[in-house]
Amino acid sequence: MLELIDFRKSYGSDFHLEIGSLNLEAGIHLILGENGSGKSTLLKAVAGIHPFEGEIVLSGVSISKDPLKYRKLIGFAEAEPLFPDFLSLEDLIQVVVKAKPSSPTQVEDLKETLKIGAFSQQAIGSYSSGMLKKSALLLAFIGDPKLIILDEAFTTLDVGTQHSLTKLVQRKSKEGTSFLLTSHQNEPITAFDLISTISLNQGRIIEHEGA
Amino acid sequence: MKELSISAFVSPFYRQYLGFWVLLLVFTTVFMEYPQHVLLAEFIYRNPILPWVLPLIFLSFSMLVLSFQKELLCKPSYAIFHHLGLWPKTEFRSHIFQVWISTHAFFIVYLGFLSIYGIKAHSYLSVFALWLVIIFSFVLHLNQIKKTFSKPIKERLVPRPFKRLTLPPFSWLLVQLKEKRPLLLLSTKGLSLILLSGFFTSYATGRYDIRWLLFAGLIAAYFHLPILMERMKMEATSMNWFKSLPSHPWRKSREHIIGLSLILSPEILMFFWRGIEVLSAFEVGYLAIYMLSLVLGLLGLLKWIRLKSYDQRILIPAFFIVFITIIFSFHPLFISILGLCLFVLMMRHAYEQ
Repeated sequence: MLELIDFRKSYGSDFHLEIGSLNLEAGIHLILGENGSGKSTLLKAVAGIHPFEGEIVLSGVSISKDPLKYRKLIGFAEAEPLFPDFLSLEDLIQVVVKAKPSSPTQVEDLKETLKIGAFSQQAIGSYSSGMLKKSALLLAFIGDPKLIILDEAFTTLDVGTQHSLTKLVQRKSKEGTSFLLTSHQNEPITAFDLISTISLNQGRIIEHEGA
Repeated sequence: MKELSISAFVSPFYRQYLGFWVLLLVFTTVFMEYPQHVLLAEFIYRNPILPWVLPLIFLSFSMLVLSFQKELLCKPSYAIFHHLGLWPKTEFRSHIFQVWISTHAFFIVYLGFLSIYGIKAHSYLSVFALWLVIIFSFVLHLNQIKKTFSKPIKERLVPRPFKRLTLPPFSWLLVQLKEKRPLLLLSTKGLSLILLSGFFTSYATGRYDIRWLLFAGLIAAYFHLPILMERMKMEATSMNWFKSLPSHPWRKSREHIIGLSLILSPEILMFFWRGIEVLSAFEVGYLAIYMLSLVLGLLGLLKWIRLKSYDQRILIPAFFIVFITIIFSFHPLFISILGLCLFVLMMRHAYEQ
């Protein structure tokens, strides 16, 4: 499903992320590691947001040869989502729905699952960190992505929404969507049938269980 | 979608270069009347070179807009807009056209006006070339933005401006202005220095008394309002965390006084440079103190307005109160004490930085 070939990413001389080659089957994968080990950097590169050296191929689509088609296959929710503070979640939904067409009920269903109330009409500048996280999650699930990347998805969410998100991930996984997750919280992760767990330390894979 | 295009891509452009637009508007409306615009148009098309310079000016401006839009798309909070690259072609083009026309409107309208005089002067080829360049600039804009979406976002690691130097808190505002709002800093300094220079020149004729220079100082202090507002914005956003620090009012005051003295140093230098010819050393000294305390007083007033959620229009009567004290020949040190009192009062407040 996802293939990284000779993957390398550097930040000056201070930090190097060297994955080499990695092949992930369809399903749910967990990436573990301490703060600063390179988890978010890796996820941002896979999401097509940040440049890197090497190649990434998702379901046969190469990020370097066909970047737009590749990005259509990806949904991504950042650990600390940032959006222009003068817009509302509704504005952002319009932008994403035009890019990744979805069924008319999908957005409404996602709003209900993630308990997004009337705040979606308000300016993002007034959102709490939990609301921001819910917004990023909703945008990541829009359309029919083959791979959804959730970086620290459960952080800042209330317990009720954590349960709803867990069920949503399980349901989408059964429907054929793959997931790349990171989490420092153990409890929600135990509910998933993980295909593999990748442990990172100082920019290198030190363990790949289930591979 | 039109509103979204405007608020996300057009407003930030005008906001970023506000100083330039204000100067341009003042220059083309206050200092030039309609007959002068006509004279300018006729002058351009009488000259053999100038009609060919117009497309170059437009292209340079268009490049500035393009580089601004590309920078905007590299901001982490704008990552969501990379979905625009996945939009259907017609909607994508329509979005780009809205942004392009809104950011180029002033120049296109003015060049349209000039073109009428170009046609009257039978300079058909140069007018045709001008509009060809305008169309080319749109096509270039469209292609370049499209290209930006097909690439990952360029990461910008913000370098510390002075690597080995610990930046003292009083320098943070100046560094913020230098890094983020250089045009604001430049236009404020430019306007304020031009104004003070004009006042000094007329004062040197001997027809005015010291109140003339005090009035100049008051206007120059009000020119610094956008910089003070930038400081307030900084305190409410990136410096919010510092509110929790137990800082002594004296320490806070000292940092503001040194920081704003640095920003006002060109004006203070001008008081000494130009003032020493026409004023006594004592007068020059209190003029510098007066200018600094007016700006400190304005900062105090802005903090007070924010604290009490008052309307910012209070700044207008405040201007006239100082103006009246100048007219009635109150000593500038009295006005300085008023400004400093307001500043110190706000510095004593526990929730003000």
